[in-house]
Amino acid sequence: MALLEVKDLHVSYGAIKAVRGVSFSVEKGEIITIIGANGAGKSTILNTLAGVVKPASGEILLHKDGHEPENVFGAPSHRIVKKGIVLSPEGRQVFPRMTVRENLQLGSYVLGKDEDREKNMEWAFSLFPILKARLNQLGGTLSGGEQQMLAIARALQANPEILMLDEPSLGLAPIVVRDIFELFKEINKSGVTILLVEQNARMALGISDRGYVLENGKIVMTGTGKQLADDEKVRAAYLGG
Amino acid sequence: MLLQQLINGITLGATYALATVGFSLVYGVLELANFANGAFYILGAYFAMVLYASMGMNFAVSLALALAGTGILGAAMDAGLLRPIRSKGGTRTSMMISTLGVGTAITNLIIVLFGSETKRFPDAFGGKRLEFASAVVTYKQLFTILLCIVVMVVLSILVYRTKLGRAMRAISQNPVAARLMGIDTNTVILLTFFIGTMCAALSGTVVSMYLGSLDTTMYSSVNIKMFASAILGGVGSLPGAVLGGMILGMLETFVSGYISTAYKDVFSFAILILVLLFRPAGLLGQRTIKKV
Ligand SMILES: Nc1ncnc2c1ncn2[C@@H]1O[C@H](COP(=O)(O)OP(=O)(O)O)[C@@H](O)[C@H]1O
Ligand SMILES: [Mg+2]
Repeated sequence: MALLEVKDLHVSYGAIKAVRGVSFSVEKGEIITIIGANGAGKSTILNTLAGVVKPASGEILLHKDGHEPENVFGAPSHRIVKKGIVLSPEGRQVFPRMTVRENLQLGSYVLGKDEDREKNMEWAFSLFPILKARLNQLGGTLSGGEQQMLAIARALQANPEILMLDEPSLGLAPIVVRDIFELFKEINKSGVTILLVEQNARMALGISDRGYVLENGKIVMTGTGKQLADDEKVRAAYLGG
Repeated sequence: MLLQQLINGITLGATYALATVGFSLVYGVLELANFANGAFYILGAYFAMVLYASMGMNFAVSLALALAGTGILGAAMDAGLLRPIRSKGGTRTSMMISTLGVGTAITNLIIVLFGSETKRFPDAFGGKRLEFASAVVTYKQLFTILLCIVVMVVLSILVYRTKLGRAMRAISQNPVAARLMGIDTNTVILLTFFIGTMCAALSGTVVSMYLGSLDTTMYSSVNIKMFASAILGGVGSLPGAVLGGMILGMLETFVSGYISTAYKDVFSFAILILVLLFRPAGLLGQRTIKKV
């Protein structure tokens, strides 16, 4: 049984139909990538799953081990985060006038008193040592790459079951991108299921178990990461030939 | 004379500061100029006056009930009026105009219920005073100054040392990211209004007791003073609210004492404009970083 199952999801912004009947599933332990051109509706899907955009219709089913399946369609973000679905948003969105430490502390906002925040923070530092060096620096003063790392580390503070990453490589230097995708594999190995949205499709498909291709708010193709990366049409449209 | 002016100036400054902190707290979180704050300031004072002067309750109990009652109404304004505007994507201007409407409605309701004549607010300290070095400090002046300090300390701890405060600051810096952290932003904003409105009621009550009387004409004057103090100190900044209030209180007292009462507002606003020319964000305000 899939950990997350999205069925016939429709999302609109006023008259703009951004997502038009999307269905997909995410198995526990997988890395899944959604690729698609600018404006295809990738961010809309993630923001809807995160509960910050209200969907029009469909189902979003969450099956956690030992729990009854639950429809979290239209649930507010603060309930979604508690259920372990956490988004590192497009454009990083760090808190600019808070220190790196405070940004990370906000990441664990939903955890209970007895949960181990220190351990989560240490984990983040082992993944991104630069953040430890920047601990008392304001978020807004970090470089773009550092802000991206902070956004990912912050999302990990909530003990996510499913980590959603929206364009995590946007604006990063190519060498850093390679490292960051290696870290995603490491995070995934430690038991976090990953739902990734990327313009850098080659890298993303390279680490993914499966992928979906989104065009104009609809899924037009699906397959394993390798199948998609080898596909003629995908190569022509998203991998630069 | 100088010492006396200083004491009076600090007290007046403390009343402005108290009126401004609640306004600044809400502004800090929502960037919303809540003009109903001035009305809640008077409403709180009327609540306290009715309980204390008319019904003869203990002053501390009257004050506590007035704060709670006004705080709940402030929270109700957010839940019933501002939250729907926010959730439908309404602008800050719509929200601001709504608060102006609420402020006017409350003020008019007070006139309907109590009439527009000035009401007496008896001194809970029975006129007790300290005298030293030719100056006089009344207990109610001390009480006003002390409360200003206490409120400032409590609010600073709240905003900078508690989880709720961290959530408030998160919302003010990036509301969507705050929601992605799992912060129930509507509840945090509701609590911000509750606390901010209680501060308004507290300052209205204390000021009315300090002046010995209250009436609804205080609405527009307190709104102007509150706005001026906030802008002078740096709108949204709590220390700025206190600094702005203190400068304004001192200026008014000294200009009234040494020049003429007629000029006190002229001087205050001239200084305000001068400061803004050199520091557009106010004395302690942060220049907002615009995203490119
Ligand atoms: N807040 C919004 N208001 C109105 N339209 C939006 C908003 N966000 C996205 N859109 C529109 O929805 C469509 C999908 O956008 P988005 O999900 O951001 O795509 P992607 O992430 O794939 O680039 C686009 O046509 C975009 O213009
Ligand atoms: Mg996007």
